[in-house]
Amino acid sequence: MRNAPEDALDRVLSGGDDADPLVNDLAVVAGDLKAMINEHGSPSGSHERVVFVQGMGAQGHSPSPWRFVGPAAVVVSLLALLGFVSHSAIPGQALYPVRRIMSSIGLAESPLHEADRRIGSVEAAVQTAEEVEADWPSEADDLAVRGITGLSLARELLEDVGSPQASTRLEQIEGLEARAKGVIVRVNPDVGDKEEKKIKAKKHTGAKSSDKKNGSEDANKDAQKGSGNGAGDPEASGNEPDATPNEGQHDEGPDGNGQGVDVQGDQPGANVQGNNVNDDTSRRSGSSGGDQRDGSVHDRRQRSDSEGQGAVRRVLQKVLRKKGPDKN
Amino acid sequence: METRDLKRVVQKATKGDEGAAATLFDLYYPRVYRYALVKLRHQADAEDVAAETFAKVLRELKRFKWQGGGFEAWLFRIASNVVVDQQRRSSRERVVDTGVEPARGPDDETPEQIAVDRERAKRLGAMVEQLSDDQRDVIALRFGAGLTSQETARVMDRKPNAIRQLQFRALATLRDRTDESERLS
Repeated sequence: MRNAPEDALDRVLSGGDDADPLVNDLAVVAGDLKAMINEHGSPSGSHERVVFVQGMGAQGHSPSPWRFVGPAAVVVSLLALLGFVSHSAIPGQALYPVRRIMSSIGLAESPLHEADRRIGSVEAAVQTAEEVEADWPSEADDLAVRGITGLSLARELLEDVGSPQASTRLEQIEGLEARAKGVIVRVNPDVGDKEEKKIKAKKHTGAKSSDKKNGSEDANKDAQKGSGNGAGDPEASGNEPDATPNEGQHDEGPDGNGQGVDVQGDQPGANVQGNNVNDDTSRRSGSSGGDQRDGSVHDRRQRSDSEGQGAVRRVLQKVLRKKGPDKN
Repeated sequence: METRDLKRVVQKATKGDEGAAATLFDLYYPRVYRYALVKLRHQADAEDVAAETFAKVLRELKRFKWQGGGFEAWLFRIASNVVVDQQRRSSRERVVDTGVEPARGPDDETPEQIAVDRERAKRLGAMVEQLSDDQRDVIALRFGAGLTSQETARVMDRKPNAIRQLQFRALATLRDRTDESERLS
């Protein structure tokens, strides 16, 4: 193929040599043709040149809007994902600040709005509980407890908002809590008496209990008795091996009505508070739970445990502890 | 200009570099014009084709992707399409094509020289007109646009060997016509 006259001509036209006279003749014709074409010259195209050069320059400075579509889609997707995972965050959770930001730009429900929603839901539940407490005390009790749980979440949200609107709603929450507690007390009439008796008994037996060399023994006993919360019992929490309190001091809360019962060994080296001393909820539940509970409350707590409703149980314990003054 | 350099210039022009755009224009505008002149044998039409081709390049260069044929194949395909459009318009406007009109020469060109140029231009037009469409395309791209046979093959979407054969036959035909014309004269 390399020796074909077509290839030889192409090679000569590209500056090569060939001995074939035909090829050389045709190369001369090609030369004449090129000369004739070039003889005509070419226009400067100065106007077209300006248009082309400036047009290309302008295009370089005006980026296509499509180039922003991809990054924008990624940003929107991330915002949507962030909004989705943070939409139910509550104060104290890592995503709560994200939720605040998202709600400030309208991409998530605001804490105030969620608090309103929860309050509205609890109001309906408490209303229903009050209506059915005579006929279905157990269901009314559940509704009231769940309502209080919902109110505690609403309270956390509102405390974080901290606006005048929030304070109005906090008052509303107080009212609803009182109503819910009323339902609980009415459907559990013996609970308040038991609570009061327990507090009195503790006052009398506190010193004896704290004299025991190993407070954990009591804790184990309490736990075995089915309180399910023995670690939170102040009597059971003196688990230091060297704890030798001579006297257990029973402190009542600031209201002096049995609320916030603390049992502290005040002798040097005494430590009957245990690790849960800073856990107010656990400590209070310890003072109100355990073997002194009547059967129905005990069953309810066990049921709560089995259902994993830790929050409900915590609120219930709080309510039962506070029930004393209500009764009074 | 080597392919690598040309690629760099095209990329710069695409990004708005006016210097690179000017380089492209200066390099290819005359070649597009001469290609169109051979195809259309009319100076004003060739100028229109060159201008229209670069207007299209301005609009389309953003979407240009450097593939097998490269920039030259892409550019002269655009020019080829514009030539076809121009031929359609011209056929409606002009009944008779008078052949290649020589550009006006320098002011000191004698009337005799001008007459000789006109005669040669007419002869060229007549000779090229005798060729087939494919042969005329090869002549326009090889000797008007200054493309190699490989580049011409990419523009025409043919194999280089086919282009070399078309080129050989076209030049042989032109030589025969020239000989015949000289013999008659």
